[in-house]
Amino acid sequence: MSWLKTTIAATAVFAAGLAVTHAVTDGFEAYTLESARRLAALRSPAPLPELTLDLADGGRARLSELPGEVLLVDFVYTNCPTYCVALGSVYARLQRELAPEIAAGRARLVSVTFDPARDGPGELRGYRARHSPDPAGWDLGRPAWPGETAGWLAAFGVVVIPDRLGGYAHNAAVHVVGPNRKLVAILDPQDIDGIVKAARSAGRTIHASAH
Amino acid sequence: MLPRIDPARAALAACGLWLALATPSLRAWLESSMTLHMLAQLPLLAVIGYVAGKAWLRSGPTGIAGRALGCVQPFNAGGVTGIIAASFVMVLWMLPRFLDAARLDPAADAIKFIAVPLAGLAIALSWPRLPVIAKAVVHLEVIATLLRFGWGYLAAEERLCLAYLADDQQMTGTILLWLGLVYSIAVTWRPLFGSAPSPRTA
Repeated sequence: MSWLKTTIAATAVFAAGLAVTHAVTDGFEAYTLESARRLAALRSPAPLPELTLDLADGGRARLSELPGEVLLVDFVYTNCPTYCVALGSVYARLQRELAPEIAAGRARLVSVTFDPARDGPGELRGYRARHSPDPAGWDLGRPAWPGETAGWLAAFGVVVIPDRLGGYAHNAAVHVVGPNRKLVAILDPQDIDGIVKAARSAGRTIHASAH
Repeated sequence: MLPRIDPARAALAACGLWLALATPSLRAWLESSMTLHMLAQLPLLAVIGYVAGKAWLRSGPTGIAGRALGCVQPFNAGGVTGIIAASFVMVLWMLPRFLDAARLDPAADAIKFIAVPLAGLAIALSWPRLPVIAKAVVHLEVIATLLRFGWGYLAAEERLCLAYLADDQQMTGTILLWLGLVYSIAVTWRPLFGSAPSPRTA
């Protein structure tokens, strides 16, 4: 009866293989860590832990204390020759596009450095000044103490590795943090329209539910 | 013919290699590059299981190992069950998401260190039982998988693994394509051109 046993076993193994694959790829949709974290933000926004930032403009703030209902968070290091330059100009554009929301306290841009040893308040302000003449609505900061950088990166799913040229490779993206400080969307920096839309809709949900 | 090594010794050697690969320094080194991770560590882990499986097949029928084999193999007629299980395991651990997970999360890596040798073991128990046609299908699937992954890694414009650099990914893709080519030549040579007179057939 070996063939019967085998038919049953092989079918069970095949079904189990499919079930496991389905489970670990988020329903055959996320085959990379990057797509997995983006999908997770959309499907089940997770509340972010209380992370702390030393702000380039002075003061220390926890994530919940940062002004702005919706935060657009990115991770940079100011020596970066590639992504972060692009991210800087993207943030300058977002600053212009979202000017009404920023003025009303509905949105705020936040750049976090993952190179706190090199990026002090001066370097961060210099980075902002290189991209935008106006500091309004764009906060920069470094994790408040050494271990805190890892906490910021892990909470957002950002992976930073040395690039063998003295810099870092990192998954550059714009992270939309909702009013309840949940990570609700992760978008490509090039997708300006998508980011603006996500920032507006994340703010709207709270206004809609408040009334 | 390979020299007949005592099954117990072969199993012991496999365990020793597994322990060596699991030491923090060797593990960190082999996982520091995508190429080494995918094309050295993963195959070695599978080979460990394969060697253990071969040793298991040669264990005497009266011992515990032999009796356990007698309980397992009836569920693996024609080697189907084992090959299906091994295929799922190997393909999953070649995906960028799980290379990353193994590199970044020790718990995921621990699962890999158990699952991949088990896949190798399943191949050892199943391969000799596979009908010729099924063997050809498996060969074809291995070639397709090597080329598919190779092309995928080579053609991707962005980094697919967050823990590895772009040039590392390119290198992995290139080697996978070459492996696919070499593998396809190796398995088609004999059916196409007949077996060269070897010491065994002469």
